Amino acid sequence: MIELRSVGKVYGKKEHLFTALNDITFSIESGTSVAIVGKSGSGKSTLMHVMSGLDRISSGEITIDDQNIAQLKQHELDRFRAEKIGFIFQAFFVQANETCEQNVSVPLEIRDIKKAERKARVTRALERVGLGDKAQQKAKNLSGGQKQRLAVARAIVGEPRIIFADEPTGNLDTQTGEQIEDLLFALNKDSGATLIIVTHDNELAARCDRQITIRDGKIVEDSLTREGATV
Amino acid sequence: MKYIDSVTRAGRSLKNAKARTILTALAIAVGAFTLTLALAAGTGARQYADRLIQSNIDPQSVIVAKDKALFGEGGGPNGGMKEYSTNTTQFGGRDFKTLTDTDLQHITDTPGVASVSPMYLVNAQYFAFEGIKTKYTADVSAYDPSVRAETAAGTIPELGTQIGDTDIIVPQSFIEKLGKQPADMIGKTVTLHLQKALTQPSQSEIEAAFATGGTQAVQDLLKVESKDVTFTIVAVSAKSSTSFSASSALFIAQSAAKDLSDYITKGTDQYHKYITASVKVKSDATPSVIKDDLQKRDLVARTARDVQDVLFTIVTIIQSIVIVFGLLALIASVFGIINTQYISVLERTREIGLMKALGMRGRHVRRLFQLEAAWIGMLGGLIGSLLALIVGVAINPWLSGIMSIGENRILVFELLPTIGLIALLVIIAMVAGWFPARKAAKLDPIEALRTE
Repeated sequence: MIELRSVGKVYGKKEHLFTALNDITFSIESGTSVAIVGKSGSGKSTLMHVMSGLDRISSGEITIDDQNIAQLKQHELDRFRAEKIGFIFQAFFVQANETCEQNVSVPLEIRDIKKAERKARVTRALERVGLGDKAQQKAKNLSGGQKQRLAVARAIVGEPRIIFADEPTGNLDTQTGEQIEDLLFALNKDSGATLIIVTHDNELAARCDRQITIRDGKIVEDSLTREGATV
Repeated sequence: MKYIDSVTRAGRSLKNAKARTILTALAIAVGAFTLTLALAAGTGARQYADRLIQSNIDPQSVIVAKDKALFGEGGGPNGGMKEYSTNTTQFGGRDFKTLTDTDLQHITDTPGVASVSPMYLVNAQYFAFEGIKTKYTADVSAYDPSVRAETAAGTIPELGTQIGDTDIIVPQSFIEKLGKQPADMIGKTVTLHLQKALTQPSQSEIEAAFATGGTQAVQDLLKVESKDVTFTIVAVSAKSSTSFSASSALFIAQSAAKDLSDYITKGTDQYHKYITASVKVKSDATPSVIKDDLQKRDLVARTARDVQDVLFTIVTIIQSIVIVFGLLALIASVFGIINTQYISVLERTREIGLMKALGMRGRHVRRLFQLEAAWIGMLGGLIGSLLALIVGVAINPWLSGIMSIGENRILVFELLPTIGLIALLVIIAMVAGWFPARKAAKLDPIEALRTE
């Protein structure tokens, strides 16, 4: 359960003040898939950053699984991200010179997980995204779609409660993009992890349970696309 | 993040940037190379000095003199015009204050002193080798049994034993000058021509002589008295690597030197005046204590320990100079590390941003980059030390050759100081890596991952 109450985020000081998020209140049930839609500069990325604990809010409160992340100290927030959040980015951000296994291993290393267990979980994650045979391949030898699969494996290896995907198909062709989308929604159903996709792709947004549209830092639309989903 | 995972990850990052890593490490290697050689040279020189002293100097012996200048401890200038004193003598073209019989008595009376043997200087007019017409001059000195001479030919009694009364030891350099082989000269004789110092007879002595023997008696009285003394060469002292006595003097027995010295100086100011005396300390007494006692009597003394200290001081000074150069090279390499790591941080902004986004703590990011610097430091240290070792082993025989120290090695490599040096380099590298590492740790993941 993610709850935002009167969340505000401002940048700069005094006359150069810029309001990125303005009095945002909503909540997301665990396990649902949510699309955050908006044009660039609308504040959708900022919303993702504050919800994932990458950025701090200026006002309001964000409660995730009964924990107010706005009050966490920096190292607690780092730990919160390491344990609860998975990230997928438009530009993949995989380490080209490292093998698939090493790439996926990073979140587990950060969490001090023992080597033997790391290996087992990495193998499982790579198999889940269909890269089981590429464990020892360098990431630079993968295709774009495979790189994003690798990023997905890295996002799910720590079994997070929430997966944030920032334009996950933006750098892929339609067909490959659809495969990634299928993978993400399948993972959302299987694992019960909440999936939050930031996108301006309406087709992708339409596949989510719920769409939240942002404009100028405010929610302008909040709609359910599927029956049974709750606001 | 576990420490071991950080170490592995840091090492892997360096492997992915091989050229840069090796070039930066090479800068450190220059410093490590110099320092390893400096350490090795220091160790080698100290070991050599130790061996030198142990095989040459009786630790219970003390050299005593009146003149501080003799031990390079100040004293007046030796050139130019000086006040005349009956208690000075010429040695090596310089005037020195001398020990008198009273001084010798003081030394003998000092508790703990076993024996005193003054250094007799025999100013022979000339000397000649058997079968060689040319006459030569050189210093003739009493053989000091507490300082061992190495031989090129013949035999010298063991440390502490005096040579025979008619024996003489000739330096190898003299024999070389003659164009002879040292071995061929053993058993040959050397004849010293000694001239008694001229003493002006008093008016009454001349009158008395004239009264008894007429003009002839007066001429005899005024004639310079001289005599020839013949010695047999028992040994040729080598230009040795572990000997102090590679000097340019003929050595004769203490008793012979005393006789000859007395003969020459009798009736002059120089009679029973000595530049130095060799003091043998009782085995239960401490040389340095005796030294202090003698200093209270206005005498200067030098123990075996002092000689060692002087040698070690020289070694330390030379070693320090080399170490300073090594450290300068290290300082230069520190900037190399800082520069390389800054570039590395800039290049890897995305990677750092991602790791931070995934929850890596700032201090773990910093550790990662510091460990990379540590790896570079260790690599540089290993390369430098290894090169120094290879070069050292290769040039050691050649160095020993030009320094004519025989089988002694001037570069002695020890494991522990080398490990210490590499550890030091790792620490220096980590300190240097701290600045770029801090930059990495402070990176804002949102900024770092911004793509548009």
